[in-house]
Amino acid sequence: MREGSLFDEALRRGLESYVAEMLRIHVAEGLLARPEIRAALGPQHFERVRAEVLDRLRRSEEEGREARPAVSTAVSDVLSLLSRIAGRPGSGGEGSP
Amino acid sequence: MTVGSLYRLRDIGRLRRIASVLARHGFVDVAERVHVMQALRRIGRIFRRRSAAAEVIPWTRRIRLAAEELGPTFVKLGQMLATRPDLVPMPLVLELRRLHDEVPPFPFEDVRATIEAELRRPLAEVFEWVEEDAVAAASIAQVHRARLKTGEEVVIKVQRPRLQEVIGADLRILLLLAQTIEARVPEMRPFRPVAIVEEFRRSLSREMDFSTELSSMQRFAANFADEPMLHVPHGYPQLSTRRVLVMERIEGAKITDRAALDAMGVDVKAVVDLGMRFTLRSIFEHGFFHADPHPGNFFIRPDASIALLDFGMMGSVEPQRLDEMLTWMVGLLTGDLDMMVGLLLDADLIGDETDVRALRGELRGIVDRYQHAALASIDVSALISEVFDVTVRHHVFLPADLLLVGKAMATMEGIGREAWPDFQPLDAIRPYLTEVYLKRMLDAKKHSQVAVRSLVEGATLLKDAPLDIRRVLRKLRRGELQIVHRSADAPAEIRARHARTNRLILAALLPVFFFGGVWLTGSESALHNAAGLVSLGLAWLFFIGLGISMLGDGR
Ligand SMILES: Nc1ncnc2c1ncn2[C@@H]1O[C@H](COP(=O)(O)OP(=O)(O)OP(=O)(O)O)[C@@H](O)[C@H]1O
Repeated sequence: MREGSLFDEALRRGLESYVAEMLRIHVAEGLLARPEIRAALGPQHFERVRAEVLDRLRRSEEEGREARPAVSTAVSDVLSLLSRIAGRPGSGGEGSP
Repeated sequence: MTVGSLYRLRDIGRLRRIASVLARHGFVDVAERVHVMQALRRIGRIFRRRSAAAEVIPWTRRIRLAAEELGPTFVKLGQMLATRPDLVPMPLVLELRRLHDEVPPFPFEDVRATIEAELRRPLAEVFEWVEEDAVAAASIAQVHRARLKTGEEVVIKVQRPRLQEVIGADLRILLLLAQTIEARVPEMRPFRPVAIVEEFRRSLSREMDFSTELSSMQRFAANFADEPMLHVPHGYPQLSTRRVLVMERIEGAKITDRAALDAMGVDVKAVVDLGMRFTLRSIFEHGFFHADPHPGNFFIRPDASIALLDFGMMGSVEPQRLDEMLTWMVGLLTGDLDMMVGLLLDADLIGDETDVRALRGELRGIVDRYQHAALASIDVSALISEVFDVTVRHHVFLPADLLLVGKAMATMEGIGREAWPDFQPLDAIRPYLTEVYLKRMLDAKKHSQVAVRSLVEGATLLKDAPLDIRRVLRKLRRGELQIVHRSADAPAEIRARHARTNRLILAALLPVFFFGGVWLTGSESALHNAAGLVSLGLAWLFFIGLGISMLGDGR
């Protein structure tokens, strides 16, 4: 695994971009569709907050789009590290004395 | 170990005084239970008779009167206990809230001596003049108006002389009493008296150190730098020490001084709304708030801006707790019981003895009642104390920071209503909290930062994983093989389509196996922590990974 790569600005932005897209598609609509939330804010206030929140998500999404490959690389890095550790011979597996 | 032998000789005089005040207010029995009385009887025969008053005055009131008579430490202790409805029965909480912290000022000679000793310069070298009469005198300090040689109008907050000694002795006595109570009165043990005294000691010593107050003032001002309508006095670090605090003088009227506000032509309702908004922002956006917002600390200036004073007692809340609090409050405000109870479970605040269904039922009662009440008639402090009451009765563990938040909000409401009887706090609270909640929940930056952090920590920990963890991981690898095997049974096209997802679902299962494995191997807590971090990192990995493939599929 490339040391320090996890701290990359690219990774951060790529991740933010993914997270933003997921939040927008899978979470935001659900939350914003709840009638209690709309009622608590009142129609005008609701529309303003909704626009603001979705706009911010879209911006994070777009700004980090070109950095997304960094995330996939980091994910596979960690997964391969994991399987290396788990498979390291003589590392005290079950039943070994 | 006898109680008497443990008191320092010089504390005995003070102990006698405490005992005699307690006895006069009818608490001989309490004192006798902890065997302090035998020790004291030997020292000085002070309990000749019980006060007749003790028979007619309610015990809660007697506690308050005794505290007032005993001075700063006990007044402050009472004020702290007044914020702990989880420890103190409600009638006593209400009574302790009325504790008066007004004491006669100390002489100007002491003021001068303290300032000169602290600043190591004669008064006249720094100040053009210092008013001899104090503007205000309380148990910890008093405040004097002054002007600097450089022309700035200031006030000086000067600590009471010999305060450290008096409070030091009281704290030693309190600690010993708490230890004795904990040892000898089993029914008091659940209230953890020793822990309370320790916590009290810490908060009191923060309040007695004005350099802490100065830095709180500066931090609060920085948090609200974008708010021209909230003013925090400018402090003078070169002229401030642990016992002396020099700051800009604020000219204005108290928020509850209706006549003065009217004379200034200030719109009281607007000011009250503003005050509520600042309070909410400081809690839910900065996690750093004024824990003691009484009316005397809110000055309204002629331009209708609010100046906040006295940063001796601040509350702070961790971001994680903020999220929990927000979720819970939004649940309460929108009447979503699952959200409320689910959060208590997730945050591990519910004890084994809690009957979750009964708790839910009672919360339902509260929510229903106030959802159908007219907004104007809702009393937020009553709502807060009702909710506290229910949670306490159902053994929900209430963290101290949360209680302070409750107190700050309830106090702000009280001030609002006092200044503007038609004040409708929920009008301001509900939309504000809902907005902050939505923004925090949908904040991609925040979520991804958490992910990166746990990823990095998880990876670092794994690299140096002790043998135990590696053993667990080996077990886990067998699980991995099994999953791959199962997915091989699936039709080819689905397999192709979900090849990527499968790998990520594996990542999701990793922490599950991992955690389970670590629990099973029964490792000690350091390992648990490591496992928690790793598992968090992996869980996040999964979250992101699964998201990647889901988005990929959708396109
Ligand atoms: N910067 C200031 N400008 C003008 N008056 C001030 C200033 N600071 C304090 N005061 C006055 O002194 C009073 C007490 O100040 P402060 O609250 O800081 O002291 P305290 O000892 O902590 O008192 P308490 O515990 O009662 O709040 C205030 O209510 C106010 O009247």
